Amino acid sequence: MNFSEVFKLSSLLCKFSPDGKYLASCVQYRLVVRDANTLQILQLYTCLDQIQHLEWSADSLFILCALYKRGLVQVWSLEQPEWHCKIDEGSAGLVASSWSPDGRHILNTTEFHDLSLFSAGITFTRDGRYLALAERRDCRDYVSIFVCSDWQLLRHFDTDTQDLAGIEWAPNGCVLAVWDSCLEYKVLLYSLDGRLLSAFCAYEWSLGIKSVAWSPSSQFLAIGSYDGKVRILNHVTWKMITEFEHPATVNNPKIVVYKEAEKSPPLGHLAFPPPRAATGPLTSSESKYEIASMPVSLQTLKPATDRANPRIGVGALAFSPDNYFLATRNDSVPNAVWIWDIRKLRLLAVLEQLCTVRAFQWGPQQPRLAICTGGSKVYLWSPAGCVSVQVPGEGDFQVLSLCWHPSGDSLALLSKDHFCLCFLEMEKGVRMAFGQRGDCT
Amino acid sequence: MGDWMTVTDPESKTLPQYTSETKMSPSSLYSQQVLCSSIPLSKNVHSYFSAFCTEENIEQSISYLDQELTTFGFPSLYEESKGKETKRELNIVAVLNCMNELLVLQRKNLLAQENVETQNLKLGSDMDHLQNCYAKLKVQKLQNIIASRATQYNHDMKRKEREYNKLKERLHQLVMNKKDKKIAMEVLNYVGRADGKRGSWRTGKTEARNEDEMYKILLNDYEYRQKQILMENAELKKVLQQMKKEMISLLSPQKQKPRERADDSTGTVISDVEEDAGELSRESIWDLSCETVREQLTNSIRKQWRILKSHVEKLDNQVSKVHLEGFNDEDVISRQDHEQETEKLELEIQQCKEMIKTQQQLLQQQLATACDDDTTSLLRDCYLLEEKERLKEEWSLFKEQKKNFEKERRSFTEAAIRLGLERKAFEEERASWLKQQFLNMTTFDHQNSENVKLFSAFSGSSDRDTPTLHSRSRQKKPHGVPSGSPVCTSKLTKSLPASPSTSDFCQTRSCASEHSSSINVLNITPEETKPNQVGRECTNQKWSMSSRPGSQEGCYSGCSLAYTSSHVEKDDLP
Repeated sequence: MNFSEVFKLSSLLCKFSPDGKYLASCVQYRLVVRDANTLQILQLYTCLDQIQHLEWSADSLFILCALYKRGLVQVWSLEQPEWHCKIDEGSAGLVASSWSPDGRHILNTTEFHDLSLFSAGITFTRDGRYLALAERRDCRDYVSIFVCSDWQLLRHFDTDTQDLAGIEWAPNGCVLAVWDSCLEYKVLLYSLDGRLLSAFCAYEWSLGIKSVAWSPSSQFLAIGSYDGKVRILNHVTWKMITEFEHPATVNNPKIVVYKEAEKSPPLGHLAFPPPRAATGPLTSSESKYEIASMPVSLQTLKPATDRANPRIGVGALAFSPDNYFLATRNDSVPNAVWIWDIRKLRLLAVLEQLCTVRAFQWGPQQPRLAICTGGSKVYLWSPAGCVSVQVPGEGDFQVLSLCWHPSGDSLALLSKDHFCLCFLEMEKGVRMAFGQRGDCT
Repeated sequence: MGDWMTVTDPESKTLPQYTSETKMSPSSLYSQQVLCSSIPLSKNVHSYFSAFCTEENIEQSISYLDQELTTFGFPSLYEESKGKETKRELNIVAVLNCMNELLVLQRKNLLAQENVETQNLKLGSDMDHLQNCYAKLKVQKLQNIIASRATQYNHDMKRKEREYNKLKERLHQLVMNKKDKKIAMEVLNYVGRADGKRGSWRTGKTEARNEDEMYKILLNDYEYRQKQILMENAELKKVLQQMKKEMISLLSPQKQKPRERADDSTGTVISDVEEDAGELSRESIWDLSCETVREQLTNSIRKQWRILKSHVEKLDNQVSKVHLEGFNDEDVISRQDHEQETEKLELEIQQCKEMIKTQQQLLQQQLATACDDDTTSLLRDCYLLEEKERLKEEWSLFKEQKKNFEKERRSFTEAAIRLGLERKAFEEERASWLKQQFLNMTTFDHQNSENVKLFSAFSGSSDRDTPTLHSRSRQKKPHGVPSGSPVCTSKLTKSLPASPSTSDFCQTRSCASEHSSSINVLNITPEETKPNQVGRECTNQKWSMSSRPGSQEGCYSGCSLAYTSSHVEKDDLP
């Protein structure tokens, strides 16, 4: 595993181009475009103000920079550096801006438009043909489906939700999942032509859905809810086939629990995980994974139920690209990442870190999960085992977010002020730490 | 009560068990007694009962009981007394009546106790039930409260939203009026436009095209999914059919074992097998997802499964029975016996194996060794009877042949003698003829030389014979004849000088060949008998040696001599 130098970054804005050739990063008001492999600076653009949002067009030719505070969108071209486009929304506050799939149109979401759009209420199909737009009018939620080629309205229908929280196309582009806010557990599934296929409600009178994810083959829809469970629906009957629980104690000998442990014992106590509130970085000591023996009890967090946004429920869900694994995080067990085997519909492994898990993302090609916890390490899990890697550097590099290269060969690690690239060698080259396991099926 | 206590205490030691507490009221004592009686009668209680009244304190116990009963309202146990001072007699009738009354009371009390207990249980269950209901009601109430609150909240939200929208509109208008409505867009080159123009080029044709495309996409997706599902179905059906076949094969051996319990199941199995055979053929034809076909398949599998399950349950029951009851059932062999049997069988197998091994060893030894007197004796021991029989047969054969040979020998010798005589005569004639001729023609010297020539011719012929004989005998040797030949040749050589006349007529003998051929025939047969027996082999070899030169007349007499010698040798055999 090779690490690149550390470069400056602001606002965690660092994105690979879809074709994998370039890496765009923002430093204050400057947009820096580098080569993805050598990290040489290829282009440097200057925007009018601090950039809040950065997005590549689908064909990797244009970069969109949204300056929400100024209500400006600036578009730069890679091929023709002299070219640039500025869209001024004026006093109409710019809420969100994104490319259309063909890379030729930009959708700006404004606050003061006739139809107030949700920034979360817009989703393109994977092949870029259709756009689903959610809107609220007269206290009712509507979904409009547009054909992206000529921006024609295809369907417009209302949804039976109280307060629509999100919509997402299935990867095959034929089903649209619409879910309600957390006050009500409701998922509605609409076909491409606007017919309601099915409605799913697991329970009532409790906080509902927190996160939703489609499997890459469109076979499953995973719904994470505030009761700490993930329910998997199948695409044939849209009924629940299983639910995954996230208990605080794991007792099944078939499950591997990787516990992160410090290699060098600290001065004071022995491998005592620091309290969650301590956001201060760990001493930059090496850590490794140990396989814990059953039964394992994980560190849980008692949520403050009287406050808003309680830290309970399954807040993050992600399917692996080969459809075999699902990674989840239960916010009441914030240090652990749970990995489920979708073929057998059971828990495969649990990774318990020493700090709260901030982000995880599957690699785009192979089933490799990269996890960061805000420390100076990045963690990788694959069915063969897991490894914890220290980011080299003089100071503490706190990894707050990460972003895979489309080919899966490298990983961009983002901290508050810097970013660096981690180049992964072939599977054999990556040194595995202690936590290895022969049979993982 | 106190007076009585002091009187009775020293005498009855067991009474204090009842009345150890002076403060104890009669009712409590009574109830204690009742409680004791409610306990099922046991030896302890009997002893307890007998502890109250013994042979010594009968009077005291009677008076005590009388007092107790009278306080309870029973009539007195004593008879009417005439005077106070006289001793009161026990009224047996009263005693019996009191006993009866007490028994009746006891029964009543027991019934009452049972009723009370059942009521207690009922009340307990009612309590539980009510508690559950209460809990459920509470939950429902809370849910109702939440529902009402939710609706209220929704109304509020909607109201607020509307207000908010209105305010937003007003603000928007105000703001827009003040500033320029200019959406500036600086473009230096060709670029896409900003969004906002929905449905600008909305022609019928494009609409239809879009609809078509959308439906095409949907249909493709549905077809793909249906294909996948059909494939899965086909695989599952295959698996089910395989399972069914295996289940049938598992259950069919049951048909052969006649068991009472399994009679129904075997009956159904047979019928099922027939049915299923028909079904299978039907299903192979109808490989469609017909409702009826599917139902048939699932029903047949369920049936088979039920049969299998019942069979397994029966086996389980049998096993448990065996464990519990022991070796009662004839059909069932207990595990221990089974193990014993297997052990026995294993021992048997081992023994047989050992036997076979030893036998094989012996056989090999027999084959390997040369003909020894020891081995022959061993063999004799082993195959005594058989050999004896065979030997007897062959003796008879030998004797026959011997006779024949003797006959022939005699005839030959006679013939030889005759020949000799004839030859002599012929020679004399010749001699005389030659003499005459000589006398007639030649001188005295010529006569002498002729005689010498004649004589040398004779001797030379005899000399010639011997080497040829030798060569012949030598030729015989490569035929693989062992010890016999040198013996024969030596005998031949010995015989030759003894009787040159015999060698002479050996040459001219022609009928000898005939005889020898017949002898050949005779001699061949013994060779065909078992070569395994070493002694036999030796004789065979000798005979073969003797038979071969039969064609060559020259050795015949020598052979006959050899035969006799061998015959003599053979006599050594038993």
